[in-house]
Amino acid sequence: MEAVIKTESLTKIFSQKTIAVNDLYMDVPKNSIYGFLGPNGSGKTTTIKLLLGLLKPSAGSVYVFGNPMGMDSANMRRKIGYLPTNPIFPDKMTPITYLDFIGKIFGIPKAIRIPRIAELIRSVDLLPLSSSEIRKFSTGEITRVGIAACLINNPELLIMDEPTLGLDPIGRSSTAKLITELGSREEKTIFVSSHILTDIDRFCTHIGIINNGKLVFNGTIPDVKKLIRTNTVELHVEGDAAAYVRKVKAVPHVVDVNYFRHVIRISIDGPQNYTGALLRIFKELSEADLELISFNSGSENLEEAFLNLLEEEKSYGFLRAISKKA
Amino acid sequence: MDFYGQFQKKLRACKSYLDKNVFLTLCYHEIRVTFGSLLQKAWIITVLFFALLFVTGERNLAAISILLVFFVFFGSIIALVVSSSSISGEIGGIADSLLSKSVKRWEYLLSKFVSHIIVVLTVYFSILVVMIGILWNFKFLPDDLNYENLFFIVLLVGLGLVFFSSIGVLFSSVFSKTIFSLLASITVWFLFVFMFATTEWEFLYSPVEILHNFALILEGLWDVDYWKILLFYIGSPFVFFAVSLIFFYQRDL
Repeated sequence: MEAVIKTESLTKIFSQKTIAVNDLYMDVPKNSIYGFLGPNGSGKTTTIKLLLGLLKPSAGSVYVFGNPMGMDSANMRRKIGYLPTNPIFPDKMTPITYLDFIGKIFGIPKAIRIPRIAELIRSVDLLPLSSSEIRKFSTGEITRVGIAACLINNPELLIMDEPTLGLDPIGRSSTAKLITELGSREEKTIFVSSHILTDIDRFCTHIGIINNGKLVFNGTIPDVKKLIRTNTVELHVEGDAAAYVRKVKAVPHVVDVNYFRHVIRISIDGPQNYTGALLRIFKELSEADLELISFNSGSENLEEAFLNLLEEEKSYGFLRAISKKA
Repeated sequence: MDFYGQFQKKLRACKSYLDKNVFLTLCYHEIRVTFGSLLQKAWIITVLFFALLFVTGERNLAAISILLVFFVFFGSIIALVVSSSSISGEIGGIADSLLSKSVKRWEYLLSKFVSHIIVVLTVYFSILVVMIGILWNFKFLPDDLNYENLFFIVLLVGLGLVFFSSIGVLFSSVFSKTIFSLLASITVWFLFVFMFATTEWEFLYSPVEILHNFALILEGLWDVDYWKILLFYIGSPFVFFAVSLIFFYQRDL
């Protein structure tokens, strides 16, 4: 699949002291929703600024839409929409005047710009505030203006830096829905950076995990979950499960069954037997006199995957100097 | 199509071009922001007040010379202060936002220079020309006044203000913190204005020199090469812009 963003050996060192981005090899496929995950201070925002040409790489290169990105790549940035963390707007501007200003910057003709502004303001639910000064807005309202501004040029690539930061659950849900819609219906490529794992899990198709400036994982969400699959399944049941537990213990490849307070935790001996054993376990459940309330498998836990990957990367020690690509 | 129709068509095309032009959009925005700033508004009100005071007080040519002194001493400081935060004050915020869109660095930088020069000249010329107009209308000016030389003095002081405004933008593009660009700008003011105003030293390219030789210039008796002064004041903003470009293109945002 063609990559919209591609970095090769991308490195950024500030003042010869701080290595913010370290030999980054990253591919963002077209029409994907790429989650860029990392703890605070790991280099996410620096990477984004390198992608946009706001920073000059100390080494390596950035390709966006197949072309190298530089400080004056204004034509390429015409196809990009960027939402920074905590966007800052000029004083005394309203959503309408600001969007009009940005529209002119993008060279959008007036006949297209004005209806687009009206449509965007309505879409982000800022109609009642369209003539109020942005400096008086709440965090959520400011983010909505930022979202409208990053969509005004109908970009092919959206880069969003922590788009749900500071939002309430309704705001986060709306943003997640918007990102999913843009990715699936509008077929845009979306690059979202976040340290909130549940958000990434919710709407991303691909993921890159960065730690201390180094990309420790680059692939799809299922791939990363496979990495930490603990081969366990947890069943929350209602009813007397003693008989069922005895039957599950007899299922081939089940190594351990633990039953405590309506939760049955079943361990399977290896990933190669996971699917087969799971089928038998659920078959037994369907014949038992139990009600299944919920179930979890270890492979759904992205937070564990993330932490395990960071630990694993650290444990490589000096070998990290050899391995180039995640 | 008749002439009017063709004219309309060309006007629409022109408007459409101006509407989408990045550089002009940035300039217009910056001019609006600068005129909207509290400091600029306070300065305009102050200078208008003093201009009226001088005109009603002196009611002769001295009113113009006092107003020119006022612009050289205070106008230059205000031009420096307003322009020294023009870029450094936006780094990490609005500058990032603009430069992450279809704006080239040189367009952003040039719009800062041009807009601050326009603002400073608009305030300066509009007040001075109106004051001279009032004095002329009420016949407070001498009959034998050489208006050509008078407007030449006005032009030189105006170019001096352009010099200070440009240097403020230059330092703003070089230093990441506004406080440093402000300190550097004030140091320049101190060396170019204060030093030569308070000592016996002379420096051809200081605006104070124009004030000291006001009468001589008016009579056409100032024995200097005017082209050198004009070259200095007109060439400086171009040099400052070139230097700013070099620094700004190395800069991380």
